Amino acid sequence: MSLSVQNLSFSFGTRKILHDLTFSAAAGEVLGVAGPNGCGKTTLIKCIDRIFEPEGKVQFAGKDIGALTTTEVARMIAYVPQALTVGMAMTVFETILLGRRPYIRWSVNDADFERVNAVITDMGIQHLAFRKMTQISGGERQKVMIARAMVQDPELLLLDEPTSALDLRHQLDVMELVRKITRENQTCVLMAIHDLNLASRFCDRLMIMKEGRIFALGDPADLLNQELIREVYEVEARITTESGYLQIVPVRSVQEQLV
Amino acid sequence: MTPARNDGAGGVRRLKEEYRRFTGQRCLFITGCCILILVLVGIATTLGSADLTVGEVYTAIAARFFPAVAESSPLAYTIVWEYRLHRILFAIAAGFGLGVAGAVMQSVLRNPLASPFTLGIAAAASFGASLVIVFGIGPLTDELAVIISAFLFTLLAAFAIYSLSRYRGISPESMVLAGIILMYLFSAMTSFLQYTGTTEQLQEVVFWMFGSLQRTSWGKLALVSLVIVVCLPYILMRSWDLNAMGQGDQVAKSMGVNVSRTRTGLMMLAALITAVIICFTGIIGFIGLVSPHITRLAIGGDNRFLIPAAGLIGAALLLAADSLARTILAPAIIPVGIMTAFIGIPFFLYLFLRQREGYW
Amino acid sequence: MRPCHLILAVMVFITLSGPVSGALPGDTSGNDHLEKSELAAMVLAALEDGTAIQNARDAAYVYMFWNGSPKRITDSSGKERVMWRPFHRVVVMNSETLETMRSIGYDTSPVIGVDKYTLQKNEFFPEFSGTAGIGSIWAPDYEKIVSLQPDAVFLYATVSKSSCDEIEERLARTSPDITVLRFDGYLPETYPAEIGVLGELLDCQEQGQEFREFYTANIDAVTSSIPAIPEGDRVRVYFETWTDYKSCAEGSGYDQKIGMAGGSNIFANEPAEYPEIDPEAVLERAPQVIIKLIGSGKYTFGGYQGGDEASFSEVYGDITSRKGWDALEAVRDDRTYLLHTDILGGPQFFIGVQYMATWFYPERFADLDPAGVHAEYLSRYQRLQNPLTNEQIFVYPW
Repeated sequence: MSLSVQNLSFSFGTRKILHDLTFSAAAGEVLGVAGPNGCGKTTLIKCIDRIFEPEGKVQFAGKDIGALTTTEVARMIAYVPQALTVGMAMTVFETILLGRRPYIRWSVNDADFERVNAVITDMGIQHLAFRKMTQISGGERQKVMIARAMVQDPELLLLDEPTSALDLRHQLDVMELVRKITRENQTCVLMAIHDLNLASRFCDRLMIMKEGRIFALGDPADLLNQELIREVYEVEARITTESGYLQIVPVRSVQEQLV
Repeated sequence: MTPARNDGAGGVRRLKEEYRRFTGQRCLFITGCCILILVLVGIATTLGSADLTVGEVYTAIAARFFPAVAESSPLAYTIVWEYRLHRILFAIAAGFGLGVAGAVMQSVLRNPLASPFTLGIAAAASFGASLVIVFGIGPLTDELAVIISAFLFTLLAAFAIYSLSRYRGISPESMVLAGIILMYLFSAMTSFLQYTGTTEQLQEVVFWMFGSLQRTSWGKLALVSLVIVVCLPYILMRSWDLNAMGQGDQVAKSMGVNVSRTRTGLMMLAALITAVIICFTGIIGFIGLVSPHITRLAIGGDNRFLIPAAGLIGAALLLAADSLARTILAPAIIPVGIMTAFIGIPFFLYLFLRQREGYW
Repeated sequence: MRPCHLILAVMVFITLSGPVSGALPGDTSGNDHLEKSELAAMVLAALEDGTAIQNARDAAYVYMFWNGSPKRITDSSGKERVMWRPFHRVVVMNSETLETMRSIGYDTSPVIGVDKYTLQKNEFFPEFSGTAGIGSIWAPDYEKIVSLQPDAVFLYATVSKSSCDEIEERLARTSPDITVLRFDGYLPETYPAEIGVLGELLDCQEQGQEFREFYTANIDAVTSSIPAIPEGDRVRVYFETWTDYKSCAEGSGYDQKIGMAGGSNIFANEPAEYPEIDPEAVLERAPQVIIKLIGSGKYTFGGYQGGDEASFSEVYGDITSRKGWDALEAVRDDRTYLLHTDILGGPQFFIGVQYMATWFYPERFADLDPAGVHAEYLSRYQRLQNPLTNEQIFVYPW
């Protein structure tokens, strides 16, 4: 089940955010989307999930997403937001159960229980099941959000900066979880991420965006070099390899040099 | 970090049990509320300034259904059936409606301060009533004209909120802002009417705004109950979507919820229920604000349970407030809107002092 | 019981009770003539059965006073009301009607329920201080009213019309046996006629007529002279209600009464009935007489409930020393007065009007004696036992 995007454009009123994007992603692959602030990563993610209505064609598994009903889309594509600021009055179990909404009419049936149990077992958060959302940490909350997305049985998972609000340990946890889910379920994953180090480590392919356009697309190791970083981020960086992982250290911003 | 894996079937069973227990607690709460209401009704029917004993009251009630067995004096019968019962039942219906409307608004707007009254809906009703009281409307009797005018203006306000927020995107923020604009607008216009009216008209307007269950009747009760019974099923069917919307508009959309349509539809229904109640009673505040909070504290935010339970709590609150209002300063009858404020304020103080995990 | 049995029983009773020296049995009037009424009364008194006695008494009443037919009158709401029997249990919800009932000589013992404002005026209505309170017209205690099981309930006719309409409609729906009667009891246009109708209604035609003449005479004593005074010569009056700097304008009762006394209200043309006025406007319009109404709000003292002279002089001092007001004719010539609402607001307004007339045109109305009229009203018509004490002040200075 692969994602195919052709000539995607989107404007907020008169301001054009995304210009004519064309790319694809395969099942079982983690495609990272990176770029400077305001380049349109988050908007792109929302366009694919029909949260916004873009121009252009978005196809998944051969079907045109624009032509499907919202319920059909919901059974196919799941979205995980950046951080949770609302919906605190529920327990963890109820929040995850919400993800079954595309399948539930009124009451919860056995299939729903099975799926939720499978997901929370997989993610190792059974012990949190009936705690209130306000009583768990930020990292745990992010896991709960991912669990909620997973019970939707998606074939395409969209993540919007899943690690921005997390500490080191939880960043690692969540990213490993994402990779595991992708491999085991052959889910296609599109992830907006701004931390280039994490992106290079956990993404199979990386798409760099600048000002609403695709700047580069390919294997992170091939892509990330000093020229690219200077052009896209306007930053002089030093790139090394530590313990097998790419390490990008920003040294100074390019503007300084001109002064 | 990963604990020992649960045996698949055992894990599911444990989950189910836990969930059933959880749900069971909530059903228990709702049942408890129903019992509470019955008890309150039992007490409220015996309260009043006519000197009827408890026995006389219950005999009068029984006399209607079992005339062969129970014989009641005409006086007791008149007082119980013409003055007390429909007032008590109306308090239950109105309290239920306001509680439901408040819970729906708070969930739809994701705002703990939302209620029929913070959104200018009540201010519009006051304006409608004042307009008729000060200027009068031709052939209609005064009472009917006030009712119709208050009702129409409430719906007008709801429609205005919808239109204004549509212009800026049907988000909770835009609706709340639109509501606040309307509230100030209608309050100012009402004050102006009060200023230009005669003393008598002013007094009438003020009395109307206090909120009162004095003018209830069986017909009005039937109308309010009908509206609530018709609107409630749709609201309950949408509870699951409301739960999803509680996670944020975008998450809800990704789960297949038509957010703007659901938001609009539910706001309109909540406004309709509010309109049909306050056009008869005047402004009874706090019920719509306070009941959902009490309920949420007890059984959490799942709207499938929250909405009906908030309704029941609202019914109990309003009935208790009305009974107190009738008896505390007997023979004077305090307007019930004042009483609900007196009950609501200590509650909010309690919430404020107890705040541990945030108001929401 | 057939009539012949009745007469037989009576004859037996008379025989058995033995000769009474020199008076006809049942001749309560002692005129040596047994009227039909005396006979009827006596017979009824001999019967034991409670309700039958009441019915019979009512029947006798109807026969004697109403010529055997039901009484039909049209009250001030324009509706025709029918009385089938005299009232034994009456609820009066406006004190003006209650006061007028006293004036026409009605025996108020059937009054078993009054409104809370009547209860508050316990100095003026001492005989009702133990009577049940039924709330007020704006907040009626229906349960209380209904449980008193009244025959009649009295309400306003045009004042607070919607509240009164509601009460009438409610009672008609739930207790159709109650006769609702509507009288305003104090509006100058309708009061004389109302006195007549009330007298007719309550079988007090004679004293009702007498009171009506008393009232009309006292009003005419003032109003008949007023048309002779040309518009331009009318005294300019500033009238202040019990709220400081709140006056009255056309459409309000106070303005009407000022006009009746021949005054020209300097704020008559303001848009609101009780306008808040700019103090400078008072200086601008140079009133010749200033009247301050007291008796409510900040100035709740005086009148029937009592109050000492010091309170009055204090208010008087405050008003006359307002900034710039010493330039006003009204202050310079000592034509500033305090007037209590008890003699301006209700059925006693004619006393207030007389006082105002003597203040506006002292020479023309030199032979008016409002204080005397007041005293006569209280003793003769209101049948109040205690004459006015020094503690009950209505005008200042007097």
